[in-house]
Amino acid sequence: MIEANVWQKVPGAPSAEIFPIIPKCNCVSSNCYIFSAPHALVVVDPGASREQTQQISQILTDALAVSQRRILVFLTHCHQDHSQEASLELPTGTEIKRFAHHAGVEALKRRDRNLTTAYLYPWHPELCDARFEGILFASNHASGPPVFELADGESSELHTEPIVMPGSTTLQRQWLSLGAGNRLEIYHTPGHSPCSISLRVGSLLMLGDLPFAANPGVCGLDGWNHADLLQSFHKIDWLLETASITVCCPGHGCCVSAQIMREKLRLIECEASNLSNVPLMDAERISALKLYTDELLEETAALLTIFSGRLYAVSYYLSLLEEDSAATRVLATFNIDQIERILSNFRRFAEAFNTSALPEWGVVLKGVQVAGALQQILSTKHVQQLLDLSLVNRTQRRLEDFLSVVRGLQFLQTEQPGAVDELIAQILARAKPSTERESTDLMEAAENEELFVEVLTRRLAAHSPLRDIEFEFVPATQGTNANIGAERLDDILISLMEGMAGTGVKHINIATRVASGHVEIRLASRERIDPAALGTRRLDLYNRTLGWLGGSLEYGEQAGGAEFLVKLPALQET
Amino acid sequence: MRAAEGPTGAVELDLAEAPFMSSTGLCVLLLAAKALQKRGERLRLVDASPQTYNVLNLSGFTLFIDVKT
Repeated sequence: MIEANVWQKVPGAPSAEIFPIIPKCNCVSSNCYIFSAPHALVVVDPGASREQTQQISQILTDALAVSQRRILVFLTHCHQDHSQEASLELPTGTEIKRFAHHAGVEALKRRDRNLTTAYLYPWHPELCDARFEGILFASNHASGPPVFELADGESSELHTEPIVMPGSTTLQRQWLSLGAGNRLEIYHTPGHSPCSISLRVGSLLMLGDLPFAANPGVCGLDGWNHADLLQSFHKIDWLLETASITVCCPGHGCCVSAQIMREKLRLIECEASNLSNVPLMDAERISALKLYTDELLEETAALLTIFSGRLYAVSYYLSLLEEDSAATRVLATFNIDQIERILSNFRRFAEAFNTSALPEWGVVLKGVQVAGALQQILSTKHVQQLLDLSLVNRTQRRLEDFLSVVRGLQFLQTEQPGAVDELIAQILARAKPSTERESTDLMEAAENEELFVEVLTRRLAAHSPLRDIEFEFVPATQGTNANIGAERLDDILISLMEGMAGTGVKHINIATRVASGHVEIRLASRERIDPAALGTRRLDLYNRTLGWLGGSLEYGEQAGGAEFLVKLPALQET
Repeated sequence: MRAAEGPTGAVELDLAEAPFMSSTGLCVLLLAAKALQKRGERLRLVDASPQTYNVLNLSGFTLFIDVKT
């Protein structure tokens, strides 16, 4: 496999070597791949970091000292994190030619901060202003000569040889000789950007950002195109199947085998197939998503901390009962430390954002990474076998919502609306579990010690903070069908009621009514509540979620007590 | 933890400088509560923020730890 920061043979091209520069995955600067061939040094994606540029310059200077050759710089696409440093810093007299797809060259020439994604970075970076001699896949040859005159009087020809794939699909291809039978092939693979290309040397294929093009936070960037992306996935899949490619090198992260990349691309293609109406990821949307990311972190941290706390509390009682092995087992079922590490890491990242000039987009991408990592932990079999899963399920639903929204999917449209009063009645029934059922499970397990401890653990963990709350429910006199999925409303109401209970409230009065096209739900306590106790960002999150539906969440103080007012758009009775 | 694992004396923890409670924090409180329970004492927390009190209450910790906001 390909190693970072070392020269090594290029698979399938014995007289060429590659030096991959693979920084820690980030959205500011890309990987860079340097090739040494008999007649040229090739740099693919210089990136956007000064340190990386210095490293590239040093590597090229050393390589030129061994053998003078021309330098060819290629951009897999014109995004800022790949193109910013394409000027490079090289010894005077070094011959350098730059190549990029004509759409990218034009974007750089007209200083297009959208197509180059420069708008994502708050420090207003300069766009690359270097001259591009090689204009790839130009429809008019006059705008980019296919033959490059070189300083030593030789010339290099850019060959154009489209590949007709089965089904008469055409894969646009160009190629250049690198000497001694080595060639650099270039394929037009748009979708992530109209100027996206993939490059091949030997049996190694560089894909740029194509493998991330369907990721939440990436799809919808300026120039992203759903139909082109699906076509490009299809074309790359065909190449990986038929063209003896063994290694794939992405624009960010480590190189992988062609087989692994093929499997990955197929999964991504499935995900991408739903992304036909992705909204533009413009600055306004990124700012909103950044706030949403902060809120998601607080909600996730709160739910998972309470869940971990309940497991700790169960282990405390099991220890009191001298069931130490059961206490240890309970804690081992949930990887509390790993979750805490992930959340702490995100907190540090968010704090760094507040004290430096990190792009908001980076926080969103970090949020996506955290959500994915948590989803993976929460979906493991051990956790699924756990006791009171409602907190975990709630967390998972919030993570799914987040990833869908960042992708630009309208998740709320898929939900089944329902009657609010019925849902509240169900929540209240759940809050007061049947004492009859509770007593039988222990009796039934009494003769099997292992089962008895398991049932006991289950009962200890079933601690519901709503159990001791006195509820009064006054339903509306009209139908309360509202345009919100039952699960999502259940999550919000339970979180609010539990939050109220957590402050020490003993009574919660619930009343519903239909007014001005809305179903209103009032959750009132006789005691005052500090809303900060529930987490202000969590309340913002519920308000945001309800807002997407045309509803809202308000907090107020009434007659010495407190009140949360949930408004939902009413469904017209048919 | 040293105070909780000591032979005698009540232990009171001032949380005025702790804006939120993570699961790592809960784990430390649990260990201290367990150590104190062995000698018949209960851990006492004072100046907990409303949010911290909420987490402790919803986790069930207020059943074996005394918390003052």
